[in-house]
Amino acid sequence: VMRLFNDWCHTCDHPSSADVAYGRFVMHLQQIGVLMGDDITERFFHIFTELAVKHSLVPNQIVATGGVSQKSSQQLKISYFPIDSFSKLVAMVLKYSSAETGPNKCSLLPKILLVAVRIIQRDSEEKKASFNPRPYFRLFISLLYDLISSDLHSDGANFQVLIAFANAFHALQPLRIPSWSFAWLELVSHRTFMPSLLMCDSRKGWPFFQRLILDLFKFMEPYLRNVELGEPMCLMYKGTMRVLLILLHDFPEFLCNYHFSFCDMIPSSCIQMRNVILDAHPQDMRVVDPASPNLKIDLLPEISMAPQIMSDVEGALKSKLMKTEVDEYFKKSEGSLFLSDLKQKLLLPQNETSVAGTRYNVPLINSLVLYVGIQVSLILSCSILSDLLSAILPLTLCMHKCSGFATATNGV
Amino acid sequence: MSGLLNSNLNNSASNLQDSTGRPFTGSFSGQSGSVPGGFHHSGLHNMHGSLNMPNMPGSFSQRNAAMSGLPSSGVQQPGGSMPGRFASNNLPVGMSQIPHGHSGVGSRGLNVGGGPAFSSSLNIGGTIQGLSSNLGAGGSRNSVPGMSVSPSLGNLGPRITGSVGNIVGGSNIGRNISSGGLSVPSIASRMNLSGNVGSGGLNVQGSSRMMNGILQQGSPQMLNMMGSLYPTSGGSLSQNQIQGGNNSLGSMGMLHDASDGAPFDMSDFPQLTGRPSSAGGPQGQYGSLRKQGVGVNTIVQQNQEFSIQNEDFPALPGYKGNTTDYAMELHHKEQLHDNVPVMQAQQYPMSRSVGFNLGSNYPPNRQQHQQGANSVQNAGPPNIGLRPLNSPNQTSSLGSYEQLIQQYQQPQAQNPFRLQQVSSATQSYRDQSLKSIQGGQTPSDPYGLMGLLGVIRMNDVDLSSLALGIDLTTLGLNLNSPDNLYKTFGSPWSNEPAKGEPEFHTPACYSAEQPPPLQPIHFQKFQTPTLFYIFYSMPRDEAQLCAASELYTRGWFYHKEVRVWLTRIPNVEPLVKTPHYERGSYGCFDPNNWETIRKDNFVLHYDQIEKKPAIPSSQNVR
Repeated sequence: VMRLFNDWCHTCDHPSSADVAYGRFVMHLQQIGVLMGDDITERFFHIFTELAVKHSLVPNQIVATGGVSQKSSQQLKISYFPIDSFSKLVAMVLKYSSAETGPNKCSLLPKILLVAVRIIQRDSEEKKASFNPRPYFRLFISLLYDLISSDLHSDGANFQVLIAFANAFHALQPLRIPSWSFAWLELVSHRTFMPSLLMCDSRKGWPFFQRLILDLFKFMEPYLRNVELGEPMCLMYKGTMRVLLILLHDFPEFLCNYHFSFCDMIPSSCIQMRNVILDAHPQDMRVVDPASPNLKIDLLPEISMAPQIMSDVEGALKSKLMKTEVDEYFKKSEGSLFLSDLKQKLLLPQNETSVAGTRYNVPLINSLVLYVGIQVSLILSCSILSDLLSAILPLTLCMHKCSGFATATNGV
Repeated sequence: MSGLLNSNLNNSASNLQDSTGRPFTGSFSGQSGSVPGGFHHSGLHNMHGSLNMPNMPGSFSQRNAAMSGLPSSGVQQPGGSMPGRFASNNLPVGMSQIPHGHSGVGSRGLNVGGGPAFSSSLNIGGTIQGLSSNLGAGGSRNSVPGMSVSPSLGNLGPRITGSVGNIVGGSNIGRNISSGGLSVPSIASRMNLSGNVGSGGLNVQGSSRMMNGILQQGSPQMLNMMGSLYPTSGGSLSQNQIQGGNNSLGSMGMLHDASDGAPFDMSDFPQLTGRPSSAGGPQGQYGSLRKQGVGVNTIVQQNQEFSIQNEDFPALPGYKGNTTDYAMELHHKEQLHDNVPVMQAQQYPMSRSVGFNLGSNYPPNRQQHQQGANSVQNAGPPNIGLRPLNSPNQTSSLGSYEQLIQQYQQPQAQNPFRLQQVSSATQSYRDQSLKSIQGGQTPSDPYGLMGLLGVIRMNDVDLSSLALGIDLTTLGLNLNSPDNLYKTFGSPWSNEPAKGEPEFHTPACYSAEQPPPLQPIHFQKFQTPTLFYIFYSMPRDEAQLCAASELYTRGWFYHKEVRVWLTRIPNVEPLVKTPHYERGSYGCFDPNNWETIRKDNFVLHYDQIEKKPAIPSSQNVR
């Protein structure tokens, strides 16, 4: 494999090389039996990735391998030539393998990315503080440029590429590899990845990006809750605000539909971050000022449209076995002990309190409030609503979109 | 008659204490003296901030708890002699104030006392019993000065005597000056007590007068004493902090006075520090008056909670552990027992006093005072009644009650830490004490008004950046642009937008393999017009030489003068042929028309023909 790597570097380094040479090299790899989609392929790319990263960190070895001699003077800088060569190899392999019989790119790219993910995880575990994320960041950037920017691929294949990258980024979330967090946020919010994923047909890519945003919030939640903003976390917070502003300006529907799960993860002290998310509204909707005089809410046409919530509202209720109790309470409210027992069920167990930082189960409270708001529009009973809300509202720590409650009020 | 005799003896005893305390001078006496002075002033504020009668048991119990806590705070026995001195200083204050109230009390007391005789007699009986028990305890200790007494007991005696003498001695001196008969003092004392019970407006005026008098007469002495301890700080911010600390410490002390008396020591220092700054001028005095009023109100409210705590815990274990005197224990229980009937009796006279028209001279002022007094007094009983009624019925009330208990448990955890601060330096002691108080308050109630106040003041830069937010316009994103922002979004870490990249696609011909380089042998395959094209369109190029060489091979030659390519016409002999020139017909290539034309009778000199160019040595044409 070392000889193959040197040959490939020579091929890339040749200024007059063309696709014919690349094609010959790929066919040579196929003749050897490396690109059959089995374990040999994974080991091949594993060693290739390690060699590329190793050579980029130690520029002296490039001279030994016959690289350009002028690069030997740059001792302290990272040489991206091996990384770029490796990403070009991956692009060519995927390009020529799709034209021939054998494993297509949809099954080969996840394997390559999985190999890279495992190498990053192992490298970060071994080196701890001295882990350098820049070579891997360069690798992913080059792959994004080579694979997503090209228009030759069909739309379906392009979506598969995006899904593969989204899954790789989910595996590399900052909660698992904290030293990778800055590179991770830049990759997730890159202009070749984030807009492509959010502008897919029929919003197929939205759940994947929502999962990535939740990974970011999970990583930052302990620090923001305890107001421990060191310099790195301050930079991280500002970067997150920039990403949210981009989403607010260009993709407000994404923030609208997933605001429920986002608000679950945001600590109660981050008032501005929650306001940015709750400020999102569809681009075709006219928003009036609630404080303006002579405002008739019932005359607004938008009040009849229920907001779309793509998050799982009933997930928290089902996990706590409260959904059936709420439904039974709606059907028969006389003689029910639901309200008296509700207070105890909204508290977290003692061992979870120290982890969450609060005694209240915030996701459960949010889920209960929103579920009641949705269901109460179907039940015309004001007394049940007032009794239930009077027991819940003092404990509600988060605010939801006004249109949700406006719909409930309109129904009542 | 026996009560009067006892009061005389106690008064003389306090005088003796005063004489023995004078030799102590310097910082030691000042330091030890500031603590008891604070006690007296806080006690006076408690008494005159609201009704005298219901506060007397509370103030006594506070003093008992404070005395029991003093040994742990490190005050030595010689310091105990100072309260007598302060007691003597307070006597003129009481004497000067009581004559002012005497005339008013006399006139109103007659009107009020004539109606509810039963209730007034009940109040008098309870009060006299308490006073007699206090006097008895003090007398028993003073009657045996020669015996060895424990430090705690020694400290208890003088304080009780001083506080009692302050009340009884004042009235005696007043009566002696104003009247000479023995029967008159008893009537006057009865009228005084009933007047305090019946009239709410009097208390409001009396409290303001007492505070004003204390400030005027006490501040010079305090200034002299405090000059050696604290620097006089004129900043309003420090005053606010000191007042805040005083209120919080006072509330904690009242809530947990049985277990630990140290909070009283803490709360008195900030209060004393605030007085020297008030002596800066009349405006300063008025400001200090307002602040004192706020403090008094807070103390009054906390006092009500304190009484609730007493009802919930009749026998306090901390009190029993401090002393084994059975008489003191009985005394404490008697006070608790008297607390309930006194409060019940308070409600009955208040309702009657509202109905009275005490005269048409000052109707608007009197009505305002009475309404204020009624609202203040009525606020207590509803609070007491609501909690027991709510707790057994609703779960949410129990939850909120548990939260309150958790909030109160926070100060308990800090008491041991605060005790250690007593022995440290005064200034660092004050600063650390205030800081620990502020720090301890934040996690207890971050969502209340105090927590939000911390956020609004931006004390914590990180918390304000999260809650109030950062300036979004400084993040480098133009939110008002109609175009999409993601195209120019460079990085989450950069403040400048990236330049938009053009979306293009490289044609396939650029990535295709390039054709092989030209070689001189390739020129043999070109047609003659192609060779002429290469010759004329590629000047100074090696290809031009190759083309020329190939043309010579094919029979063409270049004429220098005419600058044209010439060739012989086949099967035609020249007309004239000499060693130097020829004359005949030739083919000429016209570059303008790009064709070969025939020229006849053309004289061709051999020396004007260009020689055949040499082919470059390199195999590749560059």
